[in-house]
Amino acid sequence: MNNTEIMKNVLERASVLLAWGPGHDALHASPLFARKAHDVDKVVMDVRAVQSLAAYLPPLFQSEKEGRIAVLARPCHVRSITALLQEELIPVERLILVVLPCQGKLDMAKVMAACPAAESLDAAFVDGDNLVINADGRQWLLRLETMLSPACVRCPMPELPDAMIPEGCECVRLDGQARRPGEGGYAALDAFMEKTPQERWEFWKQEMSRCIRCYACRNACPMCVCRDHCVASARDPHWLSELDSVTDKLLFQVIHATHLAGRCTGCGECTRACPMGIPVGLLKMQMNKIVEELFGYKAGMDSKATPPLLTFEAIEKNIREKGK
Amino acid sequence: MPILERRIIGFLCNWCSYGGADAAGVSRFTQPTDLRVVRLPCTGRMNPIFVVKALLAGADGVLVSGCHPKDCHYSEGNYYARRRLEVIKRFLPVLGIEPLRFEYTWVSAAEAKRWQEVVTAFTEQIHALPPVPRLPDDTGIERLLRELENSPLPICGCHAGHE
Amino acid sequence: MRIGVFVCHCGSNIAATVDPAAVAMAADSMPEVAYATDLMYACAEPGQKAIVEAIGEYRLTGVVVASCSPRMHEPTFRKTVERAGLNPYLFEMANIREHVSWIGKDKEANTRKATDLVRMAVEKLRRDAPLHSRRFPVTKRVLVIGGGIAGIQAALDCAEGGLDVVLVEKEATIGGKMAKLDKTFPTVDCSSCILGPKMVDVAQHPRITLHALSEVEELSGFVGNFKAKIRKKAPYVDWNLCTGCGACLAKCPSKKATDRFNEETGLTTAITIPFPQAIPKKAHINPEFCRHFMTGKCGVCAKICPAKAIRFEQEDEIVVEEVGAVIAATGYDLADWSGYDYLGGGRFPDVITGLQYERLLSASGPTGGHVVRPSDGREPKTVVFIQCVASRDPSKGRPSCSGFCCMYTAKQAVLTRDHCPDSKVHVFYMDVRAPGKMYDEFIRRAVDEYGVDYIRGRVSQIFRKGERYVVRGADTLAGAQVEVEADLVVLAVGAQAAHGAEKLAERLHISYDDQGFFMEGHPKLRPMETNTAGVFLAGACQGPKDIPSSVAQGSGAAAKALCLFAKGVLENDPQIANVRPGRCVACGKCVKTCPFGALNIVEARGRRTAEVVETVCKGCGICTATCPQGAIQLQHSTDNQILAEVNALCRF
Repeated sequence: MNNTEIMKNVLERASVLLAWGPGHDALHASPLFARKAHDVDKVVMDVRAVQSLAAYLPPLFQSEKEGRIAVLARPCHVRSITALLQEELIPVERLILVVLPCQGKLDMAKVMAACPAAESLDAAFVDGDNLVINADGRQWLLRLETMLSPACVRCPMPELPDAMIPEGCECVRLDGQARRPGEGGYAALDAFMEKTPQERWEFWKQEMSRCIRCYACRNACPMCVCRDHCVASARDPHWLSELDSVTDKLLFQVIHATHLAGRCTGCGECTRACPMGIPVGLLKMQMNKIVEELFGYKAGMDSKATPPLLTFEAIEKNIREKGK
Repeated sequence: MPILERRIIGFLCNWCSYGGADAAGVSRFTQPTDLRVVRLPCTGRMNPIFVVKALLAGADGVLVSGCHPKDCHYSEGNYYARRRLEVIKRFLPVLGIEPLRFEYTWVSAAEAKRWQEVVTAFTEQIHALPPVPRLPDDTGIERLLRELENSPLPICGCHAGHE
Repeated sequence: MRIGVFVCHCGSNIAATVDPAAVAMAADSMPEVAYATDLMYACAEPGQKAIVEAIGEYRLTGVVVASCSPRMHEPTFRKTVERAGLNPYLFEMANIREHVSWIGKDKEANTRKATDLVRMAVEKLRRDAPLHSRRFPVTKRVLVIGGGIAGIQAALDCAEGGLDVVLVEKEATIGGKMAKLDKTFPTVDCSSCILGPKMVDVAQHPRITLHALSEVEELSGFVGNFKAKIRKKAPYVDWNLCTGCGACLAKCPSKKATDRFNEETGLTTAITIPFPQAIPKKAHINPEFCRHFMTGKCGVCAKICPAKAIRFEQEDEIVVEEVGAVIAATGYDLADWSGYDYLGGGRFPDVITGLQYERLLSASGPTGGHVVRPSDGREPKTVVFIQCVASRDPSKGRPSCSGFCCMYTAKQAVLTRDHCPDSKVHVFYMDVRAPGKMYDEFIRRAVDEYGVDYIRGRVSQIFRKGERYVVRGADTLAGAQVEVEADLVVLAVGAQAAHGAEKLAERLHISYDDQGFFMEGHPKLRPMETNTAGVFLAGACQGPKDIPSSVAQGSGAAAKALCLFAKGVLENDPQIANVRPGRCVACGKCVKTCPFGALNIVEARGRRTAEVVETVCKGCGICTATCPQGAIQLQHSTDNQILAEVNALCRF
């Protein structure tokens, strides 16, 4: 069976297959809710398929009309789904994971920087190691490797290990060649932390003054299950004012990072979604690094693990005790 | 005379550290006057975001103190607090905020002397730092609006009934 | 809201270092403040009257009192505003005494701080909602933990007052430390003669259930409705059958078991009854020494027992008792003095503790009441008593005075002279502390009538000289070093909380100090209460106490339990968590973190939401700090209230 046949086969057992389909231009893919076999023919799953579909799962599962739900996921997306399973926010028995070996995701900011004309392109396609863009009557050949998201370049897990298939979850693998694993780690954060504290403070002051409070970062986040009840738009509790204030914008990012402490899988959706290009993911990365240092824990690796901030140890190995 | 105080907010659990601070008062243990205390039922009530909220709002220092581990009035509150507060302390540097601006510790209701030492040391620690840096927008019209919002009258109809 | 602010002078306690009038004037311009004034004593009758009148006159709907700690007078003022018709939770306090006026003398800075604290209180009050208590029924049973004299007194008083009592004792018999004493000061009457009848009363009282050889493993629930899990350790004897005849003791071939009751001054049999007056008078086997348990061969007791009560296969039993109140009366133990090398640290057989000496004095003890040296059984000619061992010694982390050692040392000195009329008795002391009825007179009698030689000074060393011991110390009144050759040395070792007290405190959710003594609700005004509602203290578990004080506190704790149940129903503290179902996404994080199991996910009006079990929630607020949407709020300590307090401080 080829991949299309595999997906059609899965759809026989599921009421919907969450996938990617053609986007508004040849460089983009959009979410596709495939319900009929012929929908599967439209599926796009190359480097253009960037968005994590995990964010759609919790509300979709709430619908009683849905039977089983299949979702197309890269290994990084699987971690988000596992994190949702950890918190029992989606039912494992109704889920079918369709995992594709990952070749990386395009970073549109890089593409636009290399080829501003791509704003109004005529055609775009992947040809071997290159991304080919036809625009303005010219053709650009961009080396694919240089156009990928930094997280993908460093991704240690482009192929999903069997051990990471959530317990009790039906998982179907698609054929394909994954890129070679990167070394993981927190390189972007480490580089940022090379700056002086004053520089970091000034950085956020500048970056957050560009924030337009659109909350795309939150809406793209697979772990932001509060949805309409996010504290950002509540008056009770009233954590944030309605003012156009840098303080409140930064505080929201802190709230987001804190709410994700021990839950964020580092999928990078928040940064990708930001229309202003603010690297808000850095804050979550710092949180992930702290959680890993303190609790030896990474979210979304084990569907049975309890997130570290929802539990405790009487004696904490890595926290120096105070007092007495 | 210029005010030589810094703005320090303490979040104290009612059962241990608030009692310890009371006991320090009863014993007339002299302490710096900078600290203002918010009384919480338990450090488990302490949302770590309050720390950042206070620092961004202009507090020069935040001190959280509760019962020693194992002695929580509610059994487990300080265990949760310990994880959350340690995480937020380590988070501050990425924002460019000096992590010494925030400390958390444990002081029992019997430890009046220790409370005096904790307050004195923390106040000195904050005085050794410059005033907390502020983001530029918290002046002028915004502040006026905030004051208005604090007024008993609704600012406008659209806010009434809004959650 | 129309807020009234009342700033208390507390006489000069506040007014000496804070300007109450200036604070009141500043409060006058705070949002929604309709009236602000200063009062001489807000808590006194005229002060409370002024508050009640102002509520009426200025139509106040909320009140802030700036005075002492809310831990002191919050309940007082809540009642005050309630009397004036307000909901008692539309009230806030600013602590401008313990946290301001008493900790610094800079009046300007103090006044500024007091004003800030009032502003915080006002901002918090503006966001207070009226709260209403729920009434719930109570289980009119009391759990008394510890069967020493304090626990016995508490149990008997509760039972006499009509409550069912569950008395749990760790050892195989009740009686505690008092049962080990020969005589009691200052009357020198026989300890077991006055304690014995009370122990029998416990055994015979129809309202008292006694679990001996048992420990409380877990206490769950809340005031009025606790559940105590009690482990009854296996005595390997069916106590329903055992008649306490003692036939097994006589025949047991293992005669080298540790004798805990006799403070290890002698040995006992592996199957034993602690002492003749034990309650319950039932035999139990110490498996560490029993040949049946060690080698599998023996069983003499089983053969000899006329009641056929021996049960080698018996296992610990867990019983769950439902009670409405708990009285902890776990007493004390002597401090560990093995670190006192200069006193031999336990290496010299004839250097013993005061409690061991009591067993030597006692007619039911291992020597039948003959005072003899443990090493060779000879009667001592010279006995030296050393006071303040592991007491008043900050260098060893034992700074406190145990309070009763001066008196029992004098008693033992007197008894020594009685038992061995030709003996010499010396007492090394730091000070003699005898502040009780007829106590100082007793000390004088020891010196004047019994010729006890009191030497004021500390001992620097004890060393062996032949079969005797040299006690070297200072006589600070004579300004000289003294050496006394002694046959027997008795140490007045200080008291600390009973072994395991800290663990028990954690199980009962109460606090303890650095010596393990349980913390009372207030050092002066709430000596019987703890900060956990429904858990009371009696006797030396709260701090060292002599017998009359322990008895008094035992009765006091019983009175507290009786007061608690007098109404039949209790009201809960309404400052508990509350879910706004509209905001809840049923993610279950609150359910996971609640230490009390007070939260459930339920289906309500077609959607899943968290729900608080109101009688189980204790109001810690862990859930509120955990909930990302802020859908669950701890009432009276909501996010908005804390944010408002922070904003009140960070206005510019």
